[in-house]
Amino acid sequence: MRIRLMKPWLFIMPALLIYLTVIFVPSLYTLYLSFFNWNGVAPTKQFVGFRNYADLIFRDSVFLKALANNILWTIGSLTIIMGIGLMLALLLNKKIKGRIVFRGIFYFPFVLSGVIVATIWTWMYNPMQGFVNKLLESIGLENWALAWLAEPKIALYAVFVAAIWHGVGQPLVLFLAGLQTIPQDPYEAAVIDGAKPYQMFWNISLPLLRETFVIVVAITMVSSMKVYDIVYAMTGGGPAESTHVLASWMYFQTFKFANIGIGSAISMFLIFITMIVIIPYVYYTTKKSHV
Amino acid sequence: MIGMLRYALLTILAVVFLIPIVFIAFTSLKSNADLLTNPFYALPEKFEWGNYAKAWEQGRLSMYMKNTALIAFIKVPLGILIEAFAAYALTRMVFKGSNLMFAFFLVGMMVPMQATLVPLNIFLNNTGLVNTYPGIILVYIGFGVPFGILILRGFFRTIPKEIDEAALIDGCGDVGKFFRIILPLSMPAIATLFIFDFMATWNEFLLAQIFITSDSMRTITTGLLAFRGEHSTNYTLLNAGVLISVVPILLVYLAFQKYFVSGLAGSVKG
Amino acid sequence: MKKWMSVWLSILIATAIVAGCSSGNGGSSNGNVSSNGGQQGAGEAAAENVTVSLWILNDHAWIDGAVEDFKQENPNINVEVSKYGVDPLKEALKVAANSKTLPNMWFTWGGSLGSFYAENGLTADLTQIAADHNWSEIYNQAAIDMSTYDGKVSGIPYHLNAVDMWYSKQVYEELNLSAPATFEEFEAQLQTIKDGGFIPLALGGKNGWHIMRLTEQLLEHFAGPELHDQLNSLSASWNDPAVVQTFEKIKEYTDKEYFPKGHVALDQAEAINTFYPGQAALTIEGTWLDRSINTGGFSTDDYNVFKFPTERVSVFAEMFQINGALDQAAMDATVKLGEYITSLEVVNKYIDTYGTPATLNVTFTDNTPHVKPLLDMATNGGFLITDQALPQEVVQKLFEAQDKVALGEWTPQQAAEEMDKAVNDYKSKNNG
Repeated sequence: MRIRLMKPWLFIMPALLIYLTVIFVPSLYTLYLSFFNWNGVAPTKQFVGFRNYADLIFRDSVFLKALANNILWTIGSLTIIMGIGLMLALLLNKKIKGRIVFRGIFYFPFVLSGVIVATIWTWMYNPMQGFVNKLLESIGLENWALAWLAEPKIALYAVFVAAIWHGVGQPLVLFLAGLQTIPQDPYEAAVIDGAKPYQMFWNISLPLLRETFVIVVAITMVSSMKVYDIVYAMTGGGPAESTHVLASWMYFQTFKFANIGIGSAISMFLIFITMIVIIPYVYYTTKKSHV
Repeated sequence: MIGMLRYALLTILAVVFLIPIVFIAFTSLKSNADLLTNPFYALPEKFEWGNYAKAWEQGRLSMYMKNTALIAFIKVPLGILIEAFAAYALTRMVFKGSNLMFAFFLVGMMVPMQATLVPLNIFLNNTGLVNTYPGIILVYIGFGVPFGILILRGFFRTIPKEIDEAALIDGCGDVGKFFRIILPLSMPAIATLFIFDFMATWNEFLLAQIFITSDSMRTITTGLLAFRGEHSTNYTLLNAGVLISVVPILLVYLAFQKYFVSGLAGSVKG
Repeated sequence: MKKWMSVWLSILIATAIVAGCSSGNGGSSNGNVSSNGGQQGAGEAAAENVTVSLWILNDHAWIDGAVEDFKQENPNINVEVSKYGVDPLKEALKVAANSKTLPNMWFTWGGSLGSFYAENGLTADLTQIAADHNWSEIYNQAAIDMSTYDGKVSGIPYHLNAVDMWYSKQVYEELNLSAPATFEEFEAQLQTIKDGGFIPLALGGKNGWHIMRLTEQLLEHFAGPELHDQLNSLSASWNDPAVVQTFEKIKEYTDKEYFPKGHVALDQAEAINTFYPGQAALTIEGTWLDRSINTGGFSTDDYNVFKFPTERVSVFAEMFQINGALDQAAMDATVKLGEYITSLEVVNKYIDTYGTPATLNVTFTDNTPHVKPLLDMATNGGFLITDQALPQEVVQKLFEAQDKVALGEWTPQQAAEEMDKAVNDYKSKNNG
């Protein structure tokens, strides 16, 4: 009996040990530091309780802007990036000619590091020599030619377009893999019953993709909350700090200003926010699942 | 008719997606003066194929790619195995708190790497693992655990329980069931994970820079960084280097993506 | 199996907790610093055999040759060089400082970037060595001064960079202009250049510090050297007419389109692309631009430098700091390496790729014709570049203010007030 109870833990143990070592214990340390005012090296740390958190919320306008940007980014990712990924996966799940080439093209941007994606897109957006404005001019829309990254109201969206291009490959591959797990017979039965393609999508594909959706939604949310390098490399948080996200502001606080406590508090915010969103989501979908 | 529409849509999207890729290729084939004088979307005045050889040499890409491949080809399979064990327990051995356990792992996805650098640096220094491959592999596996478990758990859950029961009747224990039933049936999931994990490891930058300090042991991202200087960046060689450096990721992708089509569809019913 | 697992578990967790605690206490120096990153114990084994670890930027490629030469001359000193990009080096140093694993010697910028390590007691005090080894006859005094914190010399001077105006000879000849002598003349030229169909100032605002090079010259002009120094040392209020006038100029130049279109988000790499081929007339760059011009495939003959019509030039130093926790043998070897790689012999040997040395009496080659004129301007007086003079948080606020003024979100008066507030916030946080 005892062996039976221990058995799951034996399977989990290797992952758990490494996870505790690499992520959990360091995170506890971060939690601890978030209650102090400390520059990272001084012999004494000043305990400030929850003041770092309070300062972020009530006194740091960049933090609030960054939080709002993260939320916008998450909504955009969950709708647009995931939507395009799903659409492409459905289009490419049929045995059509050149399927491998198409998949390769849509996946390719994802293999590039964020920094190089940022460089290319920065140049595409260049107000004088960039491709985007050139294209607009050549189709007679020169009035639309803007300094895309220089307008605080537009800059984040401009970066997000680059992120769409960069990121669609991930949900695409996940949905493609998920579609493989759907058996063919419900479709065959539906065809016999005279179902329309969109009916098959709503009534067969979507429900059977539930597990894939859990994965994609979780990954998309996490990576949207953590988004960093493409924003940092394309705008540096500017113009006028309008495109900061939580991760870039944490980086500034920790590594530029040596405010370890505040940087740690931002990290904890990231973790808490995910906890309150993702955990209920996972529980809900787990319960609903028929498996 | 629907087939035509599908093709048209795919082709248009593919062209849109290709444009920036083409610009990267253009940049990699220009001379510095060409790049600085002409709009960057312009065709190269003269195709500088030598940039690739230069990037290969100056970035010492062969050495860095070898190092990265060594790390990735140990880290990825080992990580997947460890994650699959855990995902198996979470889906097949229902126990008290298994959902809580899963949530506990999941939260780790959210931890920003930057926040863990100092404790990890102290840990690796105290254990003598700093500047070693086992050290960096351990850290990489740690950061891969939440993602891997999330993906594998999801796919394991789609494998019908009836198959397990059949296996139990056949006299398979848990280990046997894991290796003989679940793993083979999960090839699309494992292939997916392999593709992502390999890519993430190949492109990882922050941890590699901090925890590997010997130049001869460093990874490919370091080699590419050599083209970015304090006051200026050599964009032509950087782009050439980037295009060379992603070849292994694409090869891995091509090698594993075939499992998407041949994988589960038929066998699940079995 | 079970037992083995639990042993592993307890070991892993125990190590992890120990690790967490030792840093929690601010960490105790973990003994053998000299052999950081290398074979443990090499430094202590014998004074004869010492390993010196050095962290430096990855584009300072000359270091490889110099270190090889050094090892030839000093067979008992092993040197391990680790190279980093700009941001990664800053991260790696902060992490290492935090976990007490700094290398023997590291590259750093001066001012408020290098001060972090000196003021927190992580660097060796080199004052005595500087006196004994006659540094004032080897290195530029300004560079030594900029490596000195609280009266202690805290680094071996490496680079001394001067930043000022560069112009395109072609554009200036076409418009019949010559280097301006007064601020009024300078401003008149900007308009002439604009009217001539060129971009006056090739400066990009992304990251802030390239526009800052103009801001600080304007501030020097309006505030004068004395007040400018007081502003930088936070001893005068930033809510000052000179600051307001400076921001007014930033706004005026933006409105008159003296900068490239969309300059607030433009990378300097994009902005400078208009300068090289002669689409823009002016830029503000440092002594390194000659090398960038060469690698870009252009000719240094096509450009020249002039002094912005103020007294002083913006300067900054780069240095090698030395770990303060070294034992004597490691310390001696490290100083020896540091002095060697900044010696006249080495500098002259690698001069074309070395950067702008802080070492005196260097012979410059024709490949970098503008380095000497810029350095000569600096001998008449220099002020520390703003992003190293101010604390980093205040620097970031200045960048934000530059952007917001240019975009019209803040009036120049508001910008001055916000700067003043940021300075006060910083002061109260660090004194209380």
